[in-house]
Amino acid sequence: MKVEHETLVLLRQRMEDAAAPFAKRESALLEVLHVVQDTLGWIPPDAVEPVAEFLVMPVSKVSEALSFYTMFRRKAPARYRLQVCRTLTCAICGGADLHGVIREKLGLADGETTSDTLFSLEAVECLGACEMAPAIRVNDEPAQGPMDAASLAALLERLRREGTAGGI
Amino acid sequence: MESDGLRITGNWNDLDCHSMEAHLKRGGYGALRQALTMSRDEVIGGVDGPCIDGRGGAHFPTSRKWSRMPKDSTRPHYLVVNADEGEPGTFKDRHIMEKSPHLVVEGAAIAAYALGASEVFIYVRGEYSLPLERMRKAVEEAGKAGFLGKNILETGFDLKMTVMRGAGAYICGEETATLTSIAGGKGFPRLKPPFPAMSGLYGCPTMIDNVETLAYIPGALRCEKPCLTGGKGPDDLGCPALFCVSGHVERPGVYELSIGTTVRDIINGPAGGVRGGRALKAVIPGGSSSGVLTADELDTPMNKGGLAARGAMLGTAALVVMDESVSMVEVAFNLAEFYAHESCGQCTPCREGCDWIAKLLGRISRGHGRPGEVDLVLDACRRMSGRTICAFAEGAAQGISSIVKKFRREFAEKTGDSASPSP
Repeated sequence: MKVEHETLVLLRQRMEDAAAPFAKRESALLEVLHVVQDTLGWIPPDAVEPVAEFLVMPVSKVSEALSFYTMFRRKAPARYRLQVCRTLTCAICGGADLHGVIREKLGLADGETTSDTLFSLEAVECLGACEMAPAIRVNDEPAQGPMDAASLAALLERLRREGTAGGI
Repeated sequence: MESDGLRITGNWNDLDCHSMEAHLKRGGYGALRQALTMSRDEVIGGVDGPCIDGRGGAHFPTSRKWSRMPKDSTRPHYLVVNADEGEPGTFKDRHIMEKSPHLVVEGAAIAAYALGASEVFIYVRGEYSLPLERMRKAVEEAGKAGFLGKNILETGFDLKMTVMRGAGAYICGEETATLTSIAGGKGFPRLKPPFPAMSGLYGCPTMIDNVETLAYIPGALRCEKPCLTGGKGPDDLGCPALFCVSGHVERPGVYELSIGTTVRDIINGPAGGVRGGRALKAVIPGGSSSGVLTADELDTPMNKGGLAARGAMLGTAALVVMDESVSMVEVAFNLAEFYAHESCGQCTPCREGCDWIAKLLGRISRGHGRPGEVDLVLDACRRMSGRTICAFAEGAAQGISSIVKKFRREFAEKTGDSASPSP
């Protein structure tokens, strides 16, 4: 992945800041991976070695963490990552219908991304937002709900407008 | 409920309840001030009693747990705040961190003092963006006001508090997995003993406490006994707790009520009854691993004893209410898929068992079940219990087998099995 020089400088600074509170450097692993992802949008394969070097830990341990924790993305994400909760409360409150709406409006099934990379759909486990069931989370925003076909369609429409206006 | 001012949710109707000013207005950090004039043992004694226990689901008495920390060790002591809430149906810790972050900071500071800890890690679930933001801000503000950092309130007590993010692994809510995750790596649980109080983070004495437990600590210290610590016994009405109610009710949400309130009173009271006036079919009382109650069991009190008598647990006090439209086969399959996804994979019985159970239930729910498979599910649940490092497999087994046993007829109809349990 090609990264601008300024971005790399910024990233380096953010990594230092993230690691600063930890007396034991290895403990900063998750925080450092989070800032890499927050800055670049994902964790490209060529970031693994520099992160390991930065934390003075084996590359294998960084890779292991990347594959263990579901929040870390190992490929470039869509502009809007739609995370639809599939666990019990959301499921009994109409969560499956949300998948139906997304399939109908965007042609997406679980795990897929639209060809313009504007949207991706992921069925996720309990978001801890059961009082808003069925809940959906867009990117790293707090979960929102309760969603129904109309409110979800309106949300998708708004995101599409914002996404195309902002240029991607 | 008595001692209303000490309830966690006392000011949650105020828009700025999460601010430092709002916390100070309620006497915030007064309990910390008080604790720092007491001895460590006095603080532990001050929270002793049935009300202050492990609200992550184990409900072990906090003072007994704290008194296991060594008194004479020269190694650093740590406190870890378990804010990695993930049990399906549970969202109370999210609300506490969003609305009363300073209460958590104050409770954690008091706990750290009682435990002889000089450093606290608050491990917040990765998906919880707003709680994370609020906790970070609260720690920063508390530091600036002199409630954290060096020489707190000029007592000579030093405390560092670090907020960090998890990254999407349910198992990291298991206390030893939290520790391996904080140490830097994938979150695998490890065998106990040694208990973390003896050998925890970096091999040093460590205590891991849940957000809600810590949020009740300042109130427990500030009030005259027995408002939050006394009472007449573990199931005494009067101990406050946060109940999460979700599913088919009119008003889902978090409600602070007395432990021992009946399931029926919670559903028909604050939660507004079953949605649309439909008939209730089942309630999961304490998160997905806690077992299930049928419509005939609604007068069960939400306490350890009452629920145990029904083969269920208080757990995280998260009620998932299901009306008559729900298929219990689908419910069991849904939870089985959750466990299959979240098993960390370290122990074979859990990794294979959860996956197997999910496949079996998937087949049964699609109508391809075969005779004998209802008992096969129960057998798999039984066989993975007690054979793994942590309690995940037991939680999965308890959650699923309870549904299969209490609603056996629904499963049997799909497999051609007998509706009555085999001997």
